[in-house]
Formats: sequence, structure tokens, C-alpha cells
Amino acid sequence: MDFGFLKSSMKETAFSGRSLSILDNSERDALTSVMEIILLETGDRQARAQWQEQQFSALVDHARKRSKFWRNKTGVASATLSNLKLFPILSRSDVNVQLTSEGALLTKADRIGISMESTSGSSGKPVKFYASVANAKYMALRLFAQDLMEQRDFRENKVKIDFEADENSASSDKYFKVSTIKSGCGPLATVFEEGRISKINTLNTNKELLEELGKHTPHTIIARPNGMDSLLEMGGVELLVQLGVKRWIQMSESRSEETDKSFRDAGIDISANYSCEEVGPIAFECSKCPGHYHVAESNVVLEADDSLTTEVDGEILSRVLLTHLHSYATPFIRYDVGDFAKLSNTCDCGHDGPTLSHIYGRAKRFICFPDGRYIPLQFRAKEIFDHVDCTEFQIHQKDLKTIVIHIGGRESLNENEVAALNEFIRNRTGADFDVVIRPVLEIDWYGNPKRLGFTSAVS
Amino acid sequence: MDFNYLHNTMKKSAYSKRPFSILDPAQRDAFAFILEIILLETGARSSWEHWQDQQLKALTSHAKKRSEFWKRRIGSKKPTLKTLKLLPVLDRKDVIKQVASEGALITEADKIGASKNSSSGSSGTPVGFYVSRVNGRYNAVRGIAQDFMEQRNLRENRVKVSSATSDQAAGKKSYIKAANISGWLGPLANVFEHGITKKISYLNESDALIKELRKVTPHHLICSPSIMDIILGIGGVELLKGLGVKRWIQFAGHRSRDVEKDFRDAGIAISANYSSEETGPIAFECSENPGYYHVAISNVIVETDDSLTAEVNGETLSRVLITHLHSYATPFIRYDIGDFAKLSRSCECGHDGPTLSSIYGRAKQFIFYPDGRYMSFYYDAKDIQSRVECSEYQIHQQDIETIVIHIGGRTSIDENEENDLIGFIRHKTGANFNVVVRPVSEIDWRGNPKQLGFTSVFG
Repeated sequence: MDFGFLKSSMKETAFSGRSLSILDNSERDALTSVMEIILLETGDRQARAQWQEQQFSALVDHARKRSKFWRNKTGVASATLSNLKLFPILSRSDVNVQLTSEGALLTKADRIGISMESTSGSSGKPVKFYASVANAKYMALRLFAQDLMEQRDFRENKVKIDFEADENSASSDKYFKVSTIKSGCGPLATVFEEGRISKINTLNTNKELLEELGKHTPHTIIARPNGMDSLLEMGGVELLVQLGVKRWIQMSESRSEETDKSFRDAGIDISANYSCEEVGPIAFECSKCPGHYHVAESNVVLEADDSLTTEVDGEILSRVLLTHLHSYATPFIRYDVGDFAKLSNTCDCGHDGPTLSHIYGRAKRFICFPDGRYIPLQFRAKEIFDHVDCTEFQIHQKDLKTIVIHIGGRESLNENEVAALNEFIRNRTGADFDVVIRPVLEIDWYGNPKRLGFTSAVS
Repeated sequence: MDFNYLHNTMKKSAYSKRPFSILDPAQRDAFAFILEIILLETGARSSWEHWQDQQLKALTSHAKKRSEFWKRRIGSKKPTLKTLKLLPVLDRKDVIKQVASEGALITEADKIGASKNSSSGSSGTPVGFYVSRVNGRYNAVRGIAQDFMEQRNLRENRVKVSSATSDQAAGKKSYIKAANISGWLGPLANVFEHGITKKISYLNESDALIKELRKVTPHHLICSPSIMDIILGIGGVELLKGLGVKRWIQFAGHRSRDVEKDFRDAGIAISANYSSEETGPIAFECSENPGYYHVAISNVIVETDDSLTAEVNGETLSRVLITHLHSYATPFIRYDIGDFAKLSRSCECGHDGPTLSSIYGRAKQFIFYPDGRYMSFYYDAKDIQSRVECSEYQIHQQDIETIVIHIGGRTSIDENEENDLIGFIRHKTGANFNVVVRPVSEIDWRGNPKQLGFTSVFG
């Protein structure tokens, strides 16, 4: 074991100037916290299981003590992991009920700061919940730990690209803003050299985006698949190679095998982080086995609930339930996050821990059929833009028989365009939906900052 | 980076029960110290050099403030790594003088506790000096850090075999005592499963020694080369294999190439720790390059001083000077430890740090010639035991022309035995020393617990 891979990242002044000390206190604390996570998640499985058991027990005790909702919900079942399946499933509306009636389960006396958070609503109605300062701290540490586990070079630049205006300018047609983020290393910023970390919000400003990406090599791009699609539209994988991109950290949704292959051929890594606003990090894509995600057991207990399954591409996937071990402000115990996946005991890479694959989430991403089946509707933006000239689009399943396609920047479509879109839906779904095509000057996104390419009113 | 190699090594109850915690405070603190040492010693060169500079500055500043002896010695200089060589060399007499006149340079007000310690005198007059609690803690943790760096299996047993002390063996012809030792892992004993640690003190009880070694598999056998010679004399490398020995941790002394080959062929690893009672760990043998030692830069600065050299086996070796960075109780700055070695900037294994080789220590291990030459004098127990039956022996250079061999357990020896021994010495030294062979019923070790096979009035 050594830190040799960090040599080129270390600052000359990394270590303490105080006698009989190596690191200063906050740096020591941060490094130890990160290494504790790595020890827990890669060390002995039995020891980890025991820790999870203890954390779960403490969480349930806390929830029962402070919340009538949770006393009623959990009954008298003893709080062990083997009993977890006896606990009822927590839905979004349950969370809303608990929050509305009781608020946060941490108070000033606990001396752990809390804040009200909310999901974006991309997977249904937004959920409000409380999170503690410890949760935010954990999230930052866990991301840093992942970089250490993968032996990433901290000096490389990272840029997050959101192909949307930020929340303050949602109504604008064109938007471009660059902001830099102070540090991804937290207190360890005094120990390690770091690359530039920035965030770009871009809406219909491709020229400005490319200019900005040309200024500082975007070694790592963090973007959703539809955002990456937009970037690929501008110049394909060749553009990414030219810009110096080494890695794409994919956020949410799924990507196609075609994308995987083109990135692999270009020598660009892809890694996805599976997380949700409610609990933070859930799992991290394996660097050796694409599509397989090692569960962040230092944060969550994950179950695949076979009482609700769906068939996707011939695979039976189970509902994902999450227990967030550090959710003391608003407990998430057996929370239905709205996703489906497969759960294995280990990963083929050798990792000895629960591993997810075939994650399809959120349920909103599925086309639902009258016979009860679900299938994910995956496509690249290019597939729409190839058939119809437009500024934006959205596909929406209105009911079990009807799919509506909004085409932005157009007043009307010709026959060929309409036929092509119908054909596209038929090919993707294998079914004869009623396809309603609506050209509009501007799509009404209903204030949803994510501007999702596909939504569904059917659950 | 991961801790996969720790599978099956961790206790089920390794982790904390407390919410938001992974390790409990004492375990966390011990873990943190190990991580700091590994980060420092395997991290960037410029970073650890900068740290050493600062530690040296703090140490010399402390020494000047608290000691007239050191104020005179350092004067107005502000030593750095580059200018350290401008300070005078500190020898044993200097240390004795400073300690006698000033005592410990830390007081109760410093809250780090000082205690009196002494070297064994194996390399000359015993030196009394003070150490602080910090030194004891560091020494213990540095050993554990080495195990982590080498990814050793902590579940393996460690058995240390040493000669009985003069107190233990007083008036006895033979002695054996074995005791299990606890606590080498400190607070981390709650986190990791660990093997048995046992200490055997012994004198002339071969059968009892082997019996004791059979009671608990000595996966790691810790002993000096002279003790190893005795064990090999009983049953060769086959005995070690039969006992289940995986590694010999050699301390002090020198091993021959023959022994290295035998061990290599038998699949038994050898690693040596180079240390001194005055400073603690100095360097650890490289697991890839036998005979090369990575300096423990978290503890010492090592210089090789070309103003005093010795020729050994055709190599020119320089005097080793040690600056102990944590010697606040009794400062050791440019301390002549009595050894000679070669110092390289890095190791061929890829380790980017000072690396010692050809360590010959202590100067007492040299034969001195009338023409001013030194030569290392090493031999195996069988060199004597194959020539003369005896219970013990010692070779001593009495003056520049005379070597005395004491043969214990005999009242007389015959002419053949005497001539054989004289021939051995003259052949080994390549010179016509006056060799005096003295049979005695018991050798007077003069209270020296190490009972060294070779001593000299010189060095």
C-alpha cells in the first residue's frame, strides 16, 4: 500500500510546519475520514455488514424515538438487517406526510446543522426533505474517496456542463454562464494540487461553449447523456479527443452501447455515479466492468425488491429500495427511489460487495404498455434532429395509448417529418401508439430546469 | 487504492457503533498516524524534504533554546537539509557529556513525558539518553506502517528469539523463558485480527528452544544472525520450513550470501530492520532488492560522511550520521552511530527516497590492521563449532596485533583444535595476527546482554 500515485499531485507545502506533526489537524481529519470510507468499503465484508447493522439499528432507534410516524410505520420489529424486509416500503408521499406533520428529526440540541432540500421533480412531484451538515460533508468525502480508489490525478481539470439555463434565468432563449468551484479536495486542498473545477450552464450558445472548453483542457466532463449528445452533435467523439477529454462522468439516465463503443475506441473513459438527491451517492460504476455499479455501502443499504419487477430488454429488473444510514434529519428507510435494477452479491472485477447493473431509472423513463409492461425509452437527440429541423423537442407519454411529441421552433411539419417521427416511435416501442405531433414556437417546460427529453404521466 | 488484502483480517466488530462514525476515536487516531507516515514516506519528494527541513528547524531551535551545549554547537546557524553538514558531528562522548550536564531537554510543562534510556553497549560504552513518549509511540506505529506498506498478513504469528540477558542467565549454564506479548497493534488490535506475538529468551537450550518454536507456528521469526546461525545449526533451513517459518526478520548483525541463497531457495523471505536504540527505526530492507534499505524519512535524516570511510570487501563505505527529527528529550543531530554504509538517492525498486546499502555496523565489527585498514569481520557459528566443541565462544581483537579467542565450557583444547582456530583467523583476515586461544569454563561477558561473537577494543 502506498500513495506513490499521488506524488505528482502533492504540494511542496503539503505537510505541517509544526514540530512532531505530519499533517495539520483539519487535513489529518479529512484524510482519515476518506481512508475510513475506503477501508470500510473495500475491507472485510463481514466487518462491513456488522457496521451497517449497527448504523441501521441506531437510525431506527432515533426515528422511533423522535417520530410518531416512524413508530407507527416500523412497529416493533427489531432493527436488524435480516429484518429489514419486514419494514414497510417508504414512498414519496409517505416522506411528504412525515415532513409535513413532524418536520426535521434533528433539533438545535443535536448541534448538527440541517437544511431543507428538495428533489428536482424529474422523477415525479418534487419531494422535500431535511438533510444534515453531516450528509453534505459525507458526500464530498465520498467523491474524493472515489477519486483516490481509482487513483485519479487531482491536477486534471473537471468541468460540469448543464445544457440549460440556471434557475435564475429559466425563461431565456440563450444563456451562457461559467462559474468556477473553489475546491473539490476540501481541507486537502492544502495538500494536493488541483485542476480547475468549473460549471458551465449553456443554452443555445454552442460557439461560446466550444470557446470556453478550448481555454482550459476539460480532462473530465461531467454531464448527463442528453447533454453529452448535444456536445457530440457539435463534432462527434473526435471533438472530445481534440479538446483533450479523458473521461466522461455520466450523471443519471443510461447510455447506449453505441456510445460506450465509440468512447472506448477513442480512449475516453466513462464512469457513472448513481445517486439521488434524497440520499446522495448510491453506487459508482466499476472502472473494469462498464454498466456495473459498486454500492456505496458506507452510505446506503440497498435492496432489490422482487415484489415489483419490470422486464427490460429481456431482463427482469426489481424495484430498488434504499436505506440511507445517515438520514437522521429525514429518515429514508426502504425508500422507493423509483428505479429498477439487478443486484448481485459481488462484481466480476473482484470487488466483494453488492453490485448493481441494468439500472433503469427513474420509472418516469419507461414507456408503459396497456398490458402492464414497461420498457425504457432510450434515444439520442440526434435521432430526432436527423428527422426534423427544430430548436428543441420533448416526448411525453400522455396516457397508456398516447404519446405526444412537442417540436420547438416550428409552426408546422411536413408529411415526411411526421411519418419519420411516427416510425421512430413505432421502432422504439414496437407498438402502435397514437402519436400526436405538436409544433410550437417554444416548449413550455413548466419551470422544470431539467428539460427532460422524455417524460411520462403514466406510472 | 483499496484494502482488499485485509479480507479475513478484520474483526467483525472492527467498526464503531456510534452514528456517523466508522472507527472509534482511539482506533481512528492510530489509523490516522499510520496513514500520515505512509503518505509522507511514499508521497512526493519535494513535499517530504520540505517537511524534514521544517522539522529540523524546529528541533535545532528547541535544542538551542534549552541547552547551552547545543547553543554553542549550533551557534547562529539555522540548519537546513542543505546546510546540515556544516554542523559538527556528535559522538557518544558528546551525548554523555550533554546528558550528564543538562539532563532531559523537555520538562513536565511540555506534557510529552521523558524517560531515561540506554544503549546496550554492544557498539562501545553504553550511552544514557532521554526519550519522550512521542518516540515510543512513533516506534510502535512505524513498525505497523511497514506491515501495511508491505501488505503483510497481520494474522501471522511473530516470534522473537534473543539471548538471555546477563540477569536472566546469572549463574546458569542454560536458560529458557517464553512469554506471549500483547499490544503490538495498539488500539488497532480492536480492528484487526492478529497472530500471536511471542518472545523467547534462551541460552544453551536447543531442544527446549525448538520445542517452544513448535508450540506456535513462527510465521515471522525475529532474531539476530547469530541466533539464526544456532537454529540453522540445529536443523538447517529444512527445520525452518518444517516449523512453518515464512519470513526471517533480521535485526542487527550481518548475514552471508550463502544464507540468503538458502533462504531464497527455500522460499523464506528475509527482511531486516536497521535501527538503533538511540533513534529508533532508521531504515527498512526493500522487499524487492535484498541488502537495500529505504530510510524512514518520517523519523531520521541520514547522511554518509565522506570525511571518514572504510574499505569493506572492495567497497568504500562512509560513516553514517543520523539526525533524529523527534529527539526533543536528548537531541541527536549528526550523530555518529558507529556504522558505515553507502547512501543512494533512490532504490532500484522505484522507491524515490534515500536508500542505504552495504551497511556495516557497528565499527566494533571491524578488524583493524596495523596499516590503518578496516575489514568487516563476520563468520558463522559453525566456523568455530566445526573446529572445536564448546558451549560458547567469543573472538576479541585485543590490540592492533592480537586476536583472542575465548572457548567456553572447556578447561583445555588440543593442538589440532588450536591450530585449526589460528588457521581460521589468519585465513579470514588475510594477515598474520597473533592468535591466542583461551579455554574457559564460562566466558565473562562483562554484563553485556548481547554476548557478541566478535568484539574489538577499537571503533
